[in-house]
Formats: sequence, structure tokens, C-alpha cells
Amino acid sequence: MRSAEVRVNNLKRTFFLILSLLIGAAIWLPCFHLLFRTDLRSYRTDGALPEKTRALAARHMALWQDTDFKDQELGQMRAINAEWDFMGRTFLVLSLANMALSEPDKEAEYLDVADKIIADTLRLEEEEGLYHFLMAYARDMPFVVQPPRSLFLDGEIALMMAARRLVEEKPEYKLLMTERIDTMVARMSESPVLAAESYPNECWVFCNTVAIAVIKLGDILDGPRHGDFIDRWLEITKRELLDPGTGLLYASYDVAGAPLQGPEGSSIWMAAHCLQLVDEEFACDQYQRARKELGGSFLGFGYAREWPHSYKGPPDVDSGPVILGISPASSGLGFMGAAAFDDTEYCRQLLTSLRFGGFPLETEGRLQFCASNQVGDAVVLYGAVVGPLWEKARLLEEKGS
Amino acid sequence: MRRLRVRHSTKFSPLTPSGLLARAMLGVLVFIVLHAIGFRAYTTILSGTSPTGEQVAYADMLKMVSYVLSYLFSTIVAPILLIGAVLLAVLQRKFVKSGRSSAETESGSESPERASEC
Repeated sequence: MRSAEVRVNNLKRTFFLILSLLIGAAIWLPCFHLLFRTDLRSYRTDGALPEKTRALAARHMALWQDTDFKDQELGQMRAINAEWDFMGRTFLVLSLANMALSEPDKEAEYLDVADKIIADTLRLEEEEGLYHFLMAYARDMPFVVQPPRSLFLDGEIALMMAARRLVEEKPEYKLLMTERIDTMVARMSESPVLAAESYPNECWVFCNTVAIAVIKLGDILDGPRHGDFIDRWLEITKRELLDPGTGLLYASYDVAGAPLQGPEGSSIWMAAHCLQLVDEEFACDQYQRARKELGGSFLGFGYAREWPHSYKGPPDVDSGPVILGISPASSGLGFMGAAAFDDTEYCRQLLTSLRFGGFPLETEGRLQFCASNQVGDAVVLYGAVVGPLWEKARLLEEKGS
Repeated sequence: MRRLRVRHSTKFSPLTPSGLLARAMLGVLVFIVLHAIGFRAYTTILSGTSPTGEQVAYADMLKMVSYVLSYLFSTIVAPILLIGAVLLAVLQRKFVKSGRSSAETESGSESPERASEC
């Protein structure tokens, strides 16, 4: 009798334990994100930089003021992917330009670092050549359009110079930028879809939208020369380069315009942001589609998928590790996209995820996300400060017209 | 001595509220210690970056894994254990006969009464 009673009691205890834990999970999991949820204004405001963003920027600025630190950080990234070294520079220069416009009293300080980055990038390109910032497979076959050049490099270098010039004119960049834009336009014009190669016979939407944005910026800064080209590019792109299932831009295609990869999160957010300069309506449409196909949230944590449900691409160094379709690269760029399109709630959800899974670490007033790297942190920084640069470009365009 | 040992094992049995509480607190304590001694910096390994700039050593990997696990435990599991402990205490008080703990019997330990007899 005694033994039976003990057994019943034990069963009850086990049952109550499981029940308590299940109820505990049901209570905690929906609240869990509140531990990491933060006021968006601690990262992103109009005007002076919030404390967190300043700390994030401080680490990047220090990187370019301490050669050993820079060599260590960038060297480690280059060991995995040389592109990250280059893209980290682009996003940092874009961030610095936005920061200079937000904080005019610190403009000189920010532009000084931006100039250092541009000068160093131009030097490396000249000394080490085209392949220094490309992945090794770029050497596997010749570029279709000769002589070999990569739109990845031309577009982003020109964009860095344009961003710097939008804040404050730097005459020595004017000719360099104009030459690059002319080269890009000439090479894009050789393709029936007005697309140029980043890698041999690989035209990436990321690079081609960066290129069209910088062509537009060139027109704004130096007078309209490419209005027809931009209109044709938009018309052909909308007609030929949209995935019929999702309406999103293909991530890559060959020079003839045949799709190589379907829509990808690691490309589309930046593509939509660049399109904001040339066709706001098309840009919003792409963002909204990307948001619907790739964006999501679970228990208050935002995420972005690498591919839409209707397309499964190959995981690569751009996507990073893809778990259940969710990609950190797409999520980081999604934060930038959400900020650029003022999608406050999604921005906050992605920031919550970043604060949980990014392992932020602040030491001596410098913030880094440990689970990220320099390029990832530069993208987050850009997401935190994005806005004033494109806004200034729009204002200049209105003035010009 | 034996009596003490028996009481201790009973109190922190996983079937008791105090057992859940103890496990939650222990996990959080481990996390606080690892955080305080700077293990968070080792999570840079997740992005293929060494925290020291040197080649990532096996020990660094262990530090990263131990930090991440204790972090996940402290942020996800420990609060569930805490809430569970409170609920379990209420449920047991209401629905389980008080007196000798059957949990202690199940875990192979003897009751305090029995222990005192020995």
C-alpha cells in the first residue's frame, strides 16, 4: 500500500514537473526577446549619433588609425574571403559619409578616415591588380568582355568616391570617378541586358545595382550624361531580370542575361537600396517583395532567409551558414534594407536578433559584434546611419533639375 | 554525516522546486564567471576570426563553446527553470501529499526518518 502511494506521488511529481516546465517555457519564450529588445533610437536617430552607433563606429575608425590592428582584422577576413576586405571598406566609407552629414562638426574627422580607405584601396588595386579583392575562382576563366575588369571593384570604388564627394567635393576624385563610370557604362552596354561582369561571365545584381546607383550619382555631381542609359537599364532589368515566381531580381546572370542564380537575400537588400536612387517605386516594390519572401520574425526575433521558399540556391561564402533557410548575411543586410526603407518594426526585430546572437562586446568605448566580422559590423553600422547621403543626392538632383 | 548527505540529495532532486532553482542558479553562475573572465571575446571564432589574432587553438574553441552553451542556458533555459520551480512548488503544495518525499525514494536515497534510524 505504502509503495503504491509513493509510486502515485512520484508520478504526480513527474507530471507536475513536466507541466511546470512546459508552462514555464510557454510563459518565457514569448517574453525572451524582451531581454534583447532595445529602443531603436539607441542605434539609429536623425542627427547626432546615438551612443551605441558611436561606439560601433569608434572601433572601425580605430582600425584605420592603427596599422597592426587593421592588418590583423582585415588579414583574418581575407584568409576566408578577399571580397569581405573590399566590401568592408565600401560599407565603412558609405557609413562615414552618412555620419559626416549627420554630424557636420565631425565631418573632417570622418572624411579623413574615408580618404585613407579610398587611397589605400586605390593603391592596392594598382599594386596588386584586379584579383586582389576577388575570390580565387576569378582566375579560372577569362572575362567575356575584354580587357578584364570587375564591376564589383569599379562600382564600389566609384561609389566610395561619389559618397565622399557628395559630402564635400574632392577634385582629385572627380576625374577618377568619371573615368570609372565611363568604363562601367561602356562594358555594361556590351551586354544585351546592360549588365557587366563581376567575375568571368557572372553579372551580379548587387554589383550592377551599385553601378547604376553610382552612374546616377555621377550625373547628380557632374551633370546629367547618362539619363537615357539609366532609363534603358531600368526597362531591360524589369523586363528580363525578374524571377517570375517572386518578382524579385535574380542574384546573378551571365553576360547574355541568362539567369545563373535566383533571388538571394545577400544581394537583394542592397540592390533595393541602390535602386532608391534611380527608381523609388521599383526600389520599394523590390523591398516589399523581399520583405514578404525573405523577411520574418519568430518570438520577437527578426530574421531574413537567404532564398525565397520557391527557390533553393547553393550556400556560398556570401550567404554564410544557412540554417533552416535563415542566413546571417541576409539578416545583416536586411537590417540595412529595413533602415533604408524606414521599416521600423522589422528593423527593431532584426536588431533584437543581433543583440542576442551577435554577441555584442563593448570595450573602451568600442563596440563590436563578436559573431560578426569587420564587414558584418560595417553593414550594421551602415544600417544604423543610412539615410542622409541618399537624401542629399535627392536634394541635389531636385536643385539641378 | 550520512543524514546530512541524504537531506542534501533530497533537497536538490530535479523533481523538487529547489532542485530546479539550484540548477538555474548554477547555470547562471557559471555564465557570470565565464563572462567576467572574458570568454565572450572567444565568440569571434563563430565568424572565423581569432580573438587574439593568432591561429585558433583547441582551447579557444572550448572556451567559445562553453561560453555559448552557458549563455544559451542562462538566457533560455534558466528562466524556464525558475518559472517552473515556482509553479512546481504551488502544484506540489496543492496536489501532492506532504510528508515524506517520494522523489527522494525514486532517486535511491533514503528518507530522513530512515536515515536517522541507521
